[in-house]
Amino acid sequence: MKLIFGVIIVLSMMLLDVSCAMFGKSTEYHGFDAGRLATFTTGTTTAGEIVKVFGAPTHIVKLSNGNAYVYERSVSKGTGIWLVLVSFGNYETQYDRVVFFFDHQDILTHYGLSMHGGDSSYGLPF
Amino acid sequence: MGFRFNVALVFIISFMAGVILSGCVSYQLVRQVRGTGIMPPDDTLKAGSTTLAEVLSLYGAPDKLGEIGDHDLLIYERILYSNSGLTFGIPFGDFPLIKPEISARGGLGRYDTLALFFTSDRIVRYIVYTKGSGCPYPKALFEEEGAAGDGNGVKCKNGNDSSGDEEGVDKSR
Repeated sequence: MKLIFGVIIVLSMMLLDVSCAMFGKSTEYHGFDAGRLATFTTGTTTAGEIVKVFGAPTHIVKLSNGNAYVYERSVSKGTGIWLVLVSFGNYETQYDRVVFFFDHQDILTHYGLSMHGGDSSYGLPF
Repeated sequence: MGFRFNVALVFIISFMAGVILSGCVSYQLVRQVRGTGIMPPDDTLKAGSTTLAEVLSLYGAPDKLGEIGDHDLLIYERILYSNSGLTFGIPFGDFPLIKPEISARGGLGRYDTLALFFTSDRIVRYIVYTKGSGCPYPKALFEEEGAAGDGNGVKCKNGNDSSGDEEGVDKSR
C-alpha cells in the first residue's frame, strides 16, 4: 500500500509540474504630471507654456480651428495559465491621457484628462 | 483493499492519458482588453447644444481625434479581442518531417465606440454609439455578416444608437 500511495504522490507532483502560470507587466512611460493641470488657464495659457511643463507631446493632431496636443502613457498587465490540456491568457491595457486643444493662436481653449492606467489588472479571460 | 487498488489504477491511467494527450489535444483561450468602458450617451449629450467642454468633462480625454473637412471628430473606444483555438496533433518530436496536426482557431475583435462629430464652433453635431461587446462571442464569431443577403449583418443587442443632424454623414460606415 505504501508503494501505491508513494506512486500516486510522485505522479501528482509530476502532473502539477506540467502546469505553470505567468504574470507580466509593461508600461509605456511618459512622465507628465496631471497634478500640474491646475496651473493652466483656458484662454491665456499658450502651447509653449504647456510644452515647458509637460515636455514633447506624444501626438499632435490638426483640427478645424486649431491643434490638439496629446500626452499618453499606457499600462499593460498580462496573465497566462497553462494546465495540462488547456491554457488561458488575459492581457489588459489601460491609458493615462491628457489632450490640450488650442486655437490658431496656440492659446489653450479646452483640455480633457483620463487617468485609467491604474485600472489595468491581472485576471482570467472569463 | 480491492477498491483502493482500483482507485490507484484509475489515477495512474488518467495520469498516463493526461501526459500523452497533453501533446495531442490542447485548447487555448486568450482575451485582450484595450481601453476602459464607455458610458452610453444619455440626455446630457444633445446634438446641436452640447459643447466640447461638456463632453470633455463627462468623458475625459478622447482616445482618437481628427479633422474631417471643417468639422472635428472625437472617438472614445474600448476594444475587446477574444481568441480561441483547439488543436489535435500527434507529437512526433523526434521526427521533424512527421508532425500531423489539425487545429481550429477563431479570433474576434469587438468595439465599444462613441463617436462625436463637432462643428467648427465646437458644438456636438452628431452622435454615434455602438456597443460591440454586447454581442455574445459565439454568435458574433460564427454568424456570417450580411447572411442570407439581408444586408443587415449580425443581429444582437449591441446598443447601436445615433442622433443629430445626418446631413453629410455616411451612416453605413
